[in-house]
Amino acid sequence: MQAIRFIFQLFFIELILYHAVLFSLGESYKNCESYCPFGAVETFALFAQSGKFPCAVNELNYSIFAGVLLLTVFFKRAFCSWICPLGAVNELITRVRSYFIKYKPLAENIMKTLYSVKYILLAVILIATYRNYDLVFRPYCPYFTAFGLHGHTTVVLSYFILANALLATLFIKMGFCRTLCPFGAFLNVFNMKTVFKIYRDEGACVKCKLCDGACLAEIKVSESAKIENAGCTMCLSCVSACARNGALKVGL
Amino acid sequence: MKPKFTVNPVLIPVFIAAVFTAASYFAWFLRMPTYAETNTELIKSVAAANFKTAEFEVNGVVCLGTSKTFAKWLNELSGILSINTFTSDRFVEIGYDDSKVSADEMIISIEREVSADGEKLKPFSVMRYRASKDSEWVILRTNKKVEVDEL
Repeated sequence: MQAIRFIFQLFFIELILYHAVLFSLGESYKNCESYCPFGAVETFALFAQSGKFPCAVNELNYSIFAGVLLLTVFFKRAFCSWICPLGAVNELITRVRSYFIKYKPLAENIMKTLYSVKYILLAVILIATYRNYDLVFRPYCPYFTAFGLHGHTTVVLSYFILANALLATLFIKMGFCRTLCPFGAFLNVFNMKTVFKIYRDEGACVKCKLCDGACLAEIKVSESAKIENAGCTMCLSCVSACARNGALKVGL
Repeated sequence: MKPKFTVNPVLIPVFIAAVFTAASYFAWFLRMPTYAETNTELIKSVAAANFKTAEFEVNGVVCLGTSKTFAKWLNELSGILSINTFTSDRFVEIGYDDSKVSADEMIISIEREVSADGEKLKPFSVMRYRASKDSEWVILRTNKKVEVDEL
């Protein structure tokens, strides 16, 4: 299952880069931001107010956003671990770092404080976009910087922010996704009560804790009967790592 | 804890593929104008034979703001009856009275130069156009990267 997920991640990275290259060659008007669902989140209040697409956002952003919401309602934040190109880059950094030096989980109160950063960022972005009637944070978006192939609003500060966002992952497992990503913060609202989630069969589980070590979100899978944690991205790393086939299942 | 109903995890990639195919199709199906205006009073006074709808691919029509500027400039011409801009593919549909205005006059108005802070700017470039739905496309430029100045 992990192999299929990596193929999906690679496919979406290639898709985005393909369009970015076409855009930079003058063959297409669509670039990485044309497929960004967060554009719809940022401008939703303006769209609801005027009935018009604000800024450079259009129907493609909104339909992809609707698709991501539907996916989240059924399979938690599967968008983050199966589709998001920035999530894939973060996972790559996490896996490379884990290969050389294992992550040590930070204290729970520190992590709780860090988790709140993404909600603050989300609030600031939504308010600033609404007040300015523009995607004011586009120049500082790590996704646009990484996959926009030096898009027209990219400045030196954009690369500085991208570098820091990726550096966070060197110190905290999936650091950017878990502590800074505002779209992840938005999806968390829908991530608590989803149709499908991962269940742990206590009768079959031998408490080997392989699932805990494999979890990219550092959730203590071995201590929960079902994973309702908002950080779960349905990457299924725990299911793949499970020593007892069938102890962890995706179910209703 | 055992789930009431177990699903094969393969359902996740299948679901993703289905949802994103549907989302792409939905976006194409629900193509909405970014900016739309119609002068109904003027349309009533125009003879049906003179009412034409021209289509332009205009580099520079990237958002609601640029669409409004585009419409403002075009409305300086007489005979413009409706304007619809589609920023996702940079298309513009213009309803016009062809006894009062021509496609060439519209192109001149669209591709004007303006001065801002002492600099000359050319915000819009027509890539191709057709004067009515049943006429042939006239290609003026092919490279979509053609330089346009941000307003």
